[in-house]
This record gives sequence, C-alpha cells and structure tokens, in this order.
Amino acid sequence: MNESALLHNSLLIGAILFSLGVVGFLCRRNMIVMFLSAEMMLQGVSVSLVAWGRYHNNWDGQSLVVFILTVAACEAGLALALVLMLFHRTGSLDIAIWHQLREADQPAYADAELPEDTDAAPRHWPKLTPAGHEPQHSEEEELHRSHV
Amino acid sequence: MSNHTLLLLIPSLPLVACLLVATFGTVLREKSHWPVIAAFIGSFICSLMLLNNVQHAIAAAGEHAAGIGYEDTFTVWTWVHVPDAYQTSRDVSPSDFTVDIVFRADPLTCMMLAMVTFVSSLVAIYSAGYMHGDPGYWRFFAYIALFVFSMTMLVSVSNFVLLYCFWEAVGACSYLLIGFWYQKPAAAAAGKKAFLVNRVGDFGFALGLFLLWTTYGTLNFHDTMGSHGEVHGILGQWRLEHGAFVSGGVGIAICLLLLMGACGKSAQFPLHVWLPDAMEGPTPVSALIHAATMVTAGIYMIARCTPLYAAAAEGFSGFGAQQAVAVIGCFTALLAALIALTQTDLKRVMAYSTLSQLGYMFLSLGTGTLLGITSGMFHLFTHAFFKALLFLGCGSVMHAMGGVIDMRRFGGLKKLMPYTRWTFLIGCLALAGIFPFAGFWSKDEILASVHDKMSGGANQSLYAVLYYAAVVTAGLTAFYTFRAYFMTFHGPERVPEEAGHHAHESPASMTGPLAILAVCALLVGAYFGIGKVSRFEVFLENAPSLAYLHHQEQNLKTAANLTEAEEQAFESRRETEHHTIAIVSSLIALAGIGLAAMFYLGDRKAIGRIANALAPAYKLSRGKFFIDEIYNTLIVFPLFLLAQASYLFDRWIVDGLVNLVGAIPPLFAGALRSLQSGLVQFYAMAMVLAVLVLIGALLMWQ
Amino acid sequence: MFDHPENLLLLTLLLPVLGAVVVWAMGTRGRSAVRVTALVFALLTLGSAAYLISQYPAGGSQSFAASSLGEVSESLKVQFTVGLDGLSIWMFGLSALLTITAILVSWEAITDRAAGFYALLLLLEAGMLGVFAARDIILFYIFFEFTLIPLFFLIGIWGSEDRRHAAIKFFIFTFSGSVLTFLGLLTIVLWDQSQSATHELTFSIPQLTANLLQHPLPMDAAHHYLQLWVFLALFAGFAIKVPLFPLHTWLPLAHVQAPTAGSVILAGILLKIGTYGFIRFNLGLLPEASAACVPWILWLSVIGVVYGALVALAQKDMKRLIAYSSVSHLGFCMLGIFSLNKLGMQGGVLQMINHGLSTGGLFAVIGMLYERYHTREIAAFGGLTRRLPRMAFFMVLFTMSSIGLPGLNGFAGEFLILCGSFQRGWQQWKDTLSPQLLVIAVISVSGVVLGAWYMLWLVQRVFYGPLREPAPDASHGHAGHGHADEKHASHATVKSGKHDTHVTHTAGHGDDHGAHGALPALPPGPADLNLREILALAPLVVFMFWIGLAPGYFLRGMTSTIDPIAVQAGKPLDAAAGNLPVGTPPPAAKNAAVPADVAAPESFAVPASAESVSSVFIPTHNRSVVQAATDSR
Repeated sequence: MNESALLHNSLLIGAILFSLGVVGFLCRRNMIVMFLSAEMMLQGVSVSLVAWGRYHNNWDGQSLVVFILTVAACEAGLALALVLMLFHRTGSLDIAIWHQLREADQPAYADAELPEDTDAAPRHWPKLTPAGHEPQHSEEEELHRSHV
Repeated sequence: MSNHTLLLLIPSLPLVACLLVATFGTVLREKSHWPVIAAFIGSFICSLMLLNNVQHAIAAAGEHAAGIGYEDTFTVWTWVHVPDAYQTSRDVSPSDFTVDIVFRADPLTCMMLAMVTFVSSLVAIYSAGYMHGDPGYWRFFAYIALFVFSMTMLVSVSNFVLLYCFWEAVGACSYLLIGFWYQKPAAAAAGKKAFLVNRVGDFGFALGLFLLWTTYGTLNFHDTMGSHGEVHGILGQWRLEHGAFVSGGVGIAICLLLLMGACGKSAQFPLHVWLPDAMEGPTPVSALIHAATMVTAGIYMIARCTPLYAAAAEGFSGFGAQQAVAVIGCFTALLAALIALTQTDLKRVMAYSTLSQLGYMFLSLGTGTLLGITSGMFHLFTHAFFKALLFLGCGSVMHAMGGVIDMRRFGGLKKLMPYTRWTFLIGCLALAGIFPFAGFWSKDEILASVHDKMSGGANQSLYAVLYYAAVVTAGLTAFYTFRAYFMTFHGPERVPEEAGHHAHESPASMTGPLAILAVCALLVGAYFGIGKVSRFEVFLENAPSLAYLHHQEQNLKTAANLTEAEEQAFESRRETEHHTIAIVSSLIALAGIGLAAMFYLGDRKAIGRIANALAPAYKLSRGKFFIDEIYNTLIVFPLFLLAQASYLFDRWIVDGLVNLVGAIPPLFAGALRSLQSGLVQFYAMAMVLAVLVLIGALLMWQ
Repeated sequence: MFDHPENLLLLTLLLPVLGAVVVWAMGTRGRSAVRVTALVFALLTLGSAAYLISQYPAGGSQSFAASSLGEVSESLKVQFTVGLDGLSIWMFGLSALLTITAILVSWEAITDRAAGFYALLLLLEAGMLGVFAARDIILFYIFFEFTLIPLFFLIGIWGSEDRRHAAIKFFIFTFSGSVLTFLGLLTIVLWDQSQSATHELTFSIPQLTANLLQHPLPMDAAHHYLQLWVFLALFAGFAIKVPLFPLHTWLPLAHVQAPTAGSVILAGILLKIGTYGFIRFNLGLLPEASAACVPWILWLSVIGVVYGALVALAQKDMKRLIAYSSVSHLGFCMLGIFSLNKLGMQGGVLQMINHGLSTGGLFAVIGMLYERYHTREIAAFGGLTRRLPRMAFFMVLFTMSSIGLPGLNGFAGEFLILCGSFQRGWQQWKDTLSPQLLVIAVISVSGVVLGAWYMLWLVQRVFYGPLREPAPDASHGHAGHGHADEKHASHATVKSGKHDTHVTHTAGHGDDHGAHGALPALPPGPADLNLREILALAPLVVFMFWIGLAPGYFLRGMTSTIDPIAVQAGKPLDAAAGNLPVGTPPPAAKNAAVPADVAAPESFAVPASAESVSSVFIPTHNRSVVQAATDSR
C-alpha cells in the first residue's frame, strides 16, 4: 500500500466518521447522543489530520490532534455537566425542550402529534420465561431451525 | 457734587435700598420702608442738585448752548464691544457695536429725574401707611425700590440699548408689582397681560433699534470715539449741528417702530389694554408706575428722539411719523375718555383718564413744534402730580372702604374723609383743567400747539380734526372726573360692610403725601407755565434734541424774512388765539363739570334715563368698546388654536414621520424573525446546509 | 503643575474619569458616601476648570493649554490632542459647573443603584469636557459619541415610566445622524490629504482649518458640489443634536423621561455640542457651502423659534414645555450663528451659555417640584409661591432669564442674535432687494413675545393664584392607582385620583385690598428649598447676573476665535452682494474701482438683483467675486 492510497483510505474513514456525526447530530434529540455525535465529527476531523500529517511527513497534524483530544476531553467534561444540569431541570434529555432563545413573537416548537396507535390486530411480543423456570420449547421452531 | 457723582448716586441709592430690603426683609419686616424712603429722598435731593448744576451750566454756556443744547455724559463701563461689526455703506469705515453704560445729564433727564424721585418719595411714604400689615410688606418695598432704580436709569442713560434694557426692566417691575398679590388670579393674569402687551410693543422697539443700528452704525445718543475715529451718535452734537438724520422710508420706519414701543409702554391704542387691568396691583403702584412714571417712558423716548421724528415728518403725501403720533394720541385720548364716562370702578376711571391724558401728550408730541413737545413734557410733568394725587386719593378711599372700589357701593364720604375729599377735589380740578390748577396750564399749551398747526402747513385739516377732538376730550375729561368725584364724596353717605372699623380718615402717613401733592397740583402749573414762554420751555429747550428743533425753528423764522412789524403782528395774533383757546377750553371744562353736577349731585335718575335712551352707545362705552374681547377672539384664541394644532402636528406628523422611518427596519426584520426558532438542531441544520452550499459554490467556481 | 495650563487641562479631563472609577468601586458603601465622593470629584474638576479659565488670556487665544499625548495610531496619525480656544472655553466651564448642579439635584432623588448613577454622571462630564477640549477631529468624534452612552443609561435606568422607549429613541435618532457626520469628517480629512503638497494625513482641527483655506472642498458642478454634500453630512448629525426644527422630536421625549440631572445636562450642554459642531466644522471648514445654505438653515431656525414656542404654549407637562422652549431657544442660537456676522455669531455663542444656565436651572427647579409632589402636570398646581416662596423666587428669576430680561444673561445673547440676523437681512435687502432674510429676522423677533407668553403663563398657573397642590406624596407613580384608591375612598377624606386630588386650600383675597385680609393658615405640606437645593441653583444665578451685567467680559474671550470664522464664512454672502467683506477698512484711493470690479459683467454673471443669491448655491464664479474683493485690497 503506497502513501497516497493510505491517505485516501484514511480520509475516507474520516469523512465517513464526520458524516455519521453530522447526521447523528442533526437527527437525534437525545442530548448525550448528540454530544457523542459531535465527538464523532471531531474524531473524523482528527483522523484526516493525522492522515495528512503522515502524508506530508511532519508532526503538524498529529500535534494538532493531541490538542484536539485535550480540548475534547475538557469539552466533554463541561458539556456533560451542562447536560446533567439541563436534565435536572426537566427530567428529560430531549434537546427540543430548550427553545427559549427563539424570537419573542415566534411560536414554541411542539412535536407533531403522532396518530394514536389504532391497529386492532393484537401484537405478539416475545415472552421471556422468568428466571428459574424451564423455557417452553416449540416443536415447530426447533424443526425449522436454520442452523443448528 | 459733580454731575457724575450725582448721576451715579441717583439710581444707586434705590438699588442699595432694594438689595438691603431684599436681603434683610425678613429681619426688617415692618421697618422695611425706612431704607427705601430714605433712599428715595436722597435721590430726590441729588436730582435737585443735578438740576441746579445743569441750570448753572446752561446759564454759563449762554448762547453756546442755544444751538445744540447742553449735555454731559459719562461712561461707567462697557457692556458689549464688538469691533468692526457692520459697515453701513461703502464709503464709511465699519462701525463698532459698542454698548457702554453711559449716563447723561441734560434738561430732559434732569426734569424726569426730579419728577420721578419726588413722586416716588411721596408714594413710598404713603405706602408705609397703605401697605401696613401686609404679609409681603418688605417684598413690596424691595420691588418699588427696584422700580425706581430702573426708572431713574431709564431716563438717565445715553444709549438706545440701555434705554431698551431699562424699558424692559421697569416692565418687569411693573409685572412683579401688579402681581404683588399673587394669590389673586386677576392680579396674576393682569401682570402677565401687562408684560406681554409691552413685549408686543417692544417687538417694534427692538426692530426699531436694529434699524437704527444698520442705518446709523451706532446706538449711542452722544458722539463717541470709535476705533476708526469719531462715531456720530444718533442724537449727538455732530448730527444735531448738521441735521444728518435719515428721512424717507427708512426714517419713517424707524420712527413708527419706536412709536410701537412707545405705544406699548405708554398704553396707547392699540396696545392700551393692559393699563386698566394693571389696576389689580396695589394702589400706590398704580399711582407711581401706572400713572406718574413708567407710562410716561414712551413720551420721554419720543421727545428724546424728536430730531428723528422731525426728519421723518414729511412722509407719504405729507403724512409722516409725527402725524401718526398725533393721530394715535388723539384717538386714544378720545377713546379712553369715552370709556371712562361709564366706568363704575373708581380706579378704572382714573386708569382710563391716564390713558386719555397720555394720549394728549402724544398728540402734543405729534405736532412736532417746540411748543408742542415742551407742552407735552409739561403735561407729563403736571400730570404726574395730579394723577398721583388722584390715585393716592383712590387708595385712601379704598383703604377706608375695606378694599371696595366700586363707586356704586359707597358715596357721600365728604364728612367721613375730609382730607381725602379736599385733596381729591384739587386733583379733579387740575385734571379737568380749571384755572389756576396745574392741568390748566399744560392742557392749554397742548391745545394751543395743536391749534398752531391748524393755521398752515401740509396737514392743516388733519390737525383741525385733531384739535376739535382734543377740545371735546377736554370736556369729557371734566365730566367723568367730576362724575367720579360726586359719586364718591357727595350724595347720601353710604359705606359698604367690608369697611368695618376702617371707615374713617386715613393715617397721617397717607394724608401727608396727599397734601403735598395737592399743593403741587395747585402750584406747579402756574409756577412753571406762566408767561409768554414758560419757565419750563426755557429750561427744556436746552436739551439737545429740543435745542435742535429750536434751532430749526429759528432758522425757519429767519428764512421767512419777516419784518419787525410783521413779526409783532404775527406774535400778537398768536397770543390772542392762545388766550381764546384758554378761555374756550376752560368754558368747555366748566360745562363738563356743570353737566356732571347736574346729573350726579341731585337724584341720579336723569342719568339712568339718558343711559337707557342711548343704550347701544352706553353699552359700547361700558364694555370698553369690547377691545379686549376683539383681541381675544382675533388674536389670542386663534393663537391658542394654532398652538394646539402645532402640537398635534408635532405629535402626529413630525414625530409620526420619525416613527414611520423607525418602523421600516422591523418590517424587513419580521421576515427573518421566523428563522429564529430557538431549536438547536434547526440552527445546526442551517449551518450544515450553508456549508454545503458554500462548498458547492466553491466547486462550481472552479 | 499649576504653571502649566496644559497639564491642568489634562488633569481636568482625567479627574471625572477617576471619580467615576472610584465611585463605581464604592458601589457597596451606601448612597451617602457615594454621592459625597461624586460631589468632591465634581468640585475638584470644577475648581481645576475654573483655575484653568482664570489663566485664559483676556484677549483670547487660539490654542490655550494645548497639548498632545502623541499618536494613538502610527499609521492613522490620530492624536490625543486637547486644547481650548474662545469658542470652547466657556462651554468647557459650563460643563463643569452644571455637573455640580446635576449632582446636587440628584442628592435625594436617586435612591436606586446610586453608585452607578453618579459614576455615569461623572463619565458624562468627562465626555462633555472632552468634546469641547478635543483638537483632533477623530478625538472630537469619539467624545461626541461617548456622551451618548452615559446619558443613554441615565435615561434608560433612572428615568420615568416610558424611559426605555425614550432612551432608545434618543440614542438611535442622534446616532443615525452622527454616523453621517463621521463620513463627512472623514471626507474632509481625505480631501485635505489628496490636496496637500506632501499628501500627509492630518486630523488636527486647526491644521485642517488652515489647510482648507488654501484648498477648500470644491463647490462646483464639476465636482458634484462636494462641499455641499459634506456640509449636509455634517448637518445631519449636528442638526439632530441641536435640534433643528423637523428633527427635534426626540428631545421632548428624552427630557420628560430623563431624571432631573439628565435633563439639566442634556439641555445645558449636550444640545450645544450641535451648535458647537456647526461653528467649528461647518462654518470653519466649509464656509462656502455654509453661505449657500444660509437661507435654508435660517428658515429652519426661525420655524423652530416660532413653532417651538407655539407648541410649548400647548403643553400640559412642565418638563415638556421647557423642552419645547429649548427647541425655540436653540433656534435663536442657530439664527445667530448662521447670520454669519460677528454680532450674530457672538450672540449665538453667548446664547449657548445662557440657555444652559437658564434652562438647566428651570429643569432643576421642576425636578425639585417633582421630588415633592411626584407630578409635573401644570394643571395640578396653583399658587405654590405661598408654599414654596424660595422656589418661586428661583423660578421667576430663571423665567426672566429665559425670556431675555435685560440685566440677566438671556437678553445679551438674544439682542446680539436678533441684531445680527437683522443686520444680515438688511444687508441682503439693500444689496439684492431680496427681503427674504429680513423677513426671517422680523419673524424671529416675534419669538421673544411668544417666549414670554408661555413662560409667564407657566409661572402664573403654577406659582400664582390660590394655593392648589396635589395631595402631598399621595402615590409615587401617579399613573395606575385606580383600584387601590377606590377601595380606600370611603374612609379617606383626600381622594387620590388624577384630577380630584387637588384640594383647594384658599380662595385668595377676593378683592384688591388683600393687604389686610388675613390669609388662612397654611396646611402642612412639603418644605421649601433647603440649603443643598439653594446651593445647586445659586451658581447659576451668579452667572446669570454676571453675564447679564458684563457680557463684554465673556465676549472678549471669544472674539479672537469667532470673528475670523464669522468673517470667513460671511465673505461669500458679502461678496455676492457686492459689498466689501466686513472688517476691512475701505480702500481710500481705489474707492471707485471696487464697485466697478464687482459689477464687471464679463468675468462672472452676478446674480445680484435679478436672482436672489440665497436661492441658488453659490457657484464657482462667486468665488472669483471673493477673489476680486480680496485682490482689490
């Protein structure tokens, strides 16, 4: 594997990590998950930095990454503390609850009303046998096992 | 003492008294009048000494003074000095705008000073009795002292700006004194009205000054040294010698504007409305300020500016500034006399009579002859005594009647108040112009001077009309004066309830000044006015402004080239005419008194019938020709409406425009506001999208 | 250090800043310590300013106590240069003086966050002193804007009910104008740089003034009337500050809502920064555009004079009335300044001081009244002289000063202004037969009558007549007390409502002879002015009399600065009219040649009589008139 292929692969990984982070940050409403996504973006960037550092054959990228790690650690401490505080306030980790910074005359964000679950057909949930009991065995299932 | 010391002392004594009383008033309390009276008497003595000095100086100057008169000026400090402020025309050096605090001594000033300080002293003594027990006792004396300071300054300064300054200052004192009983709404309103009407006059006066400044390049009366050599003062020796006064449109404009100021201060039509209202002030104030001194300032000013008026005499088709003065004066005299006929408030009768007499003085000044102007000043002089006397008499009556001044509510007081009655009678006789009382001499001279103008010249017919109006006014004057006298002192004795224990003769501090003034009203006319050329005229014609006129008349006489005999004939004819006038006017005055006696001495039913018969005329006179109402409807009310409209305009249009401009940015901002939803993820989304767009653009660019 | 006025000037500028810091730091020490400290610092500043002014040479000086602290920025050449001259020296002193009054009137009135209040007040003082002392154009602008900030907070935090709105309006209104001013100032500087031989950048005001005489901003069509545009840019900021007629609406609002100290300073000093700017920059740097704009500005001024007076007449709130009277009085100032002659301009500058004294005093008195009754509504009062005789004394005195009574300061300024504007009008009429400026002058005199009317009427309604006062200290905010009072109405003798509060105590005398009518006993109520309040007003009174009796003393100091500006700015008008520039003795020998030169039709088409000079911008050819007139000397 030559250097340029290594760079390409690493950058690809970095990009994928970053994109995953972006999508996660935009789509998830759990603050901790959002935070993790943000960290993921950071790591994506770090990977590409390291890759570039290697490609240019100097330490610039890597030293920067060391900084990023440090900062990210601090940030994690702070951010998690904040998240904790917010959680204490409302008992929820939903980011959409916090919209006080909107313009005064704008309507507050409200979750779209999901239609009530009216499916009449009863659902069959898997049942677990309580501990200490012999689980029930289904003959048919055992017969049609795909792999044994 | 030298002129300069005296000139400084005369105003500064009252000023010191004023400061003293104002500072220690709460300590002095009922003794507040002592410093003031002492200062006034001191000023009066100084005035007499000054008069004496000036008379000696004139005598010493002899013939030299005849041409340009006598004046002595002295500068105290420079108020404002702006070098090279204006160039009146291309061929003279730019003039400095210099206003010096300059005093002057000349016959006109001396005469005014002596009169003012004398009357003030008496009024101050009188006030000590009249104002006794008032909670604002010391305040009253402080104001009065301030007034006398301003008034003495007004007549002794030698500069138009300073004249204007003290002109306004006496107005302010008048404002304070009219509103002395500030708790009385009418008094407060009257004070404001007086000030404002005077301000309207001063509007013209100020413009007149500006015009004088741009025309003459100085505002001093006397000649001074400027930075480019000598500056010829407006009424200075140089101009008087060369007759270098501006005539034509500018000259007339100056005179008319000054006349406007004089009309305000001397309460001439159409600015006369403040004076009757000013009677809301304490009566001594009415006597001093609104009868004897302040209101004569306008006459003093016009007399001082005689050369300017003389230059502007020939106006449009012969009707110049002097004629305007005469017409306004005569009209006011007649109008005020007609109003005075039916007033029932004793003080208001006197107020209208003051207006009327001031009108006489204007008429006299409007003749523009030396005789006219000196007789106008002479009437000013005699009027000060007898009108102060009459007002103080009114005050004495009011004092006794517990503040009631409506003549319908009291009567027959001759037994109750003998001193007041007799002195009042003397005042009435003087006012009516009965021989040998003071008023006779001066009024007679005025009529004579107007009559002289009838016999020739451009405005012969105009002056004829004025003369007959003046004669009629003389009759009316006698009538209303004695109407007031009879209603107050004759008939059945009636005393209003308000009088209480006051209903008796006033104390000596009040009757004393009355007596002195009565003697003056009896004697000053004869003493100064008797003779072919009165003592008064002989003295006054040495005032520079009047000396100029004198000189001109002499020149005219020389130019006419009359022989001795012709001149003799002319003089003797003139003298006969004057004697006839004196007799006629006396007869008319007696007729007026007779009529008053007929209507008011017996039962007063006849007068009621006449009033009913002439109901419209009676109402017109009773309602003061509704001039106040006309002003209110035509000027005051529209101005109020305009003020309200301006305010609405300001609030809704001007400020509305501003707010409209202020409303534009939010309009645009409104569109963008909805983006600020407060959702973190929305912001993040926007950011990501923007970055994508930017990257896309970057790629496209390349 | 006292031998060196420049050090003293720096000290004077520094003291209030220092005071502000100290006062701010004392925030927790309590109100009385804070206000005493503030007063001490203000007094020190005043003392130092007074000593400085006492050193000012009697004949005037162009760069008194000038010093420069070096360049703020190497590349930009902006310098911290300060100094005083005849134009600024009195306003400088007045700023220091009025701060004392402002602190003393706030003594009891400010209870909330006093440290912040006094610190801001001292900062404001520093800003005002700086504006008048600055000799660098950027430094001036910085101070000019800096004065807004403390006042913004003073109004916004310690004002009345509608304070936020007022503060924001005040700030944005003035600020939007002054941004344009900044552009104008920069244009001037850049033009100067482009024209100067060495292409050197300078921000020094005296330097610029001198340079622009050599190469003025162009005033012709080829350059799109650049000078005029710059003039208008400067005009935007200064006219709003003054405020000139249609741009005045922020003033009443700001005055009404501001705390007393804010009103005093605002009326006393801040408005004058506008007129000061006009003289210093518009007239000093752009004389030709100024001359061209004279009729327009004079019309605006005279409309301001009459209109302000009329609107004042219709007011029901005392502070608002005085605010509109400021519009009227500042109209007089502008009228004098834009007469472009010595009399008018000296009067205008004197009137700047006078208005500061009299209106500052009036606002202070009304503030004291408000402190006692918590209302400023005129209709709520009557006959207060009986209750508060000392206050009435000061009120009448300030009123008299405000309406220009001779002997007090107002007269000297007003008379010079009116005389100057009349002189300008007369000159124009004589030379071009256009009566426009003369009409303006005549109309403006009527402002004196109207001025007396609304002021005396105010005094009459509030201080004369039978005693009538709001129920003493009924409720703090007199708005919105409806419910509480209705409940208590049944067992309260004095109802507290907006209009039925006023209890008539006495009907007055009823007749003339009040001298003997015993007055009913005075019911208990607020006390008259105390020593502190008298001390707040007394300095103003002293200066009122001083200026009134000897205005020459104050004018002498300013002549050397103002007269050249007046002569320079008035030149185009004088020249266009065919007159010699004022101030030059007429040439004796070439007397006949001058009019011939001026009338020569080939060189330039003089719009003399056919077309009023005033209605056209003075085009280039008229500069040759100036030239011709100058050459002929």
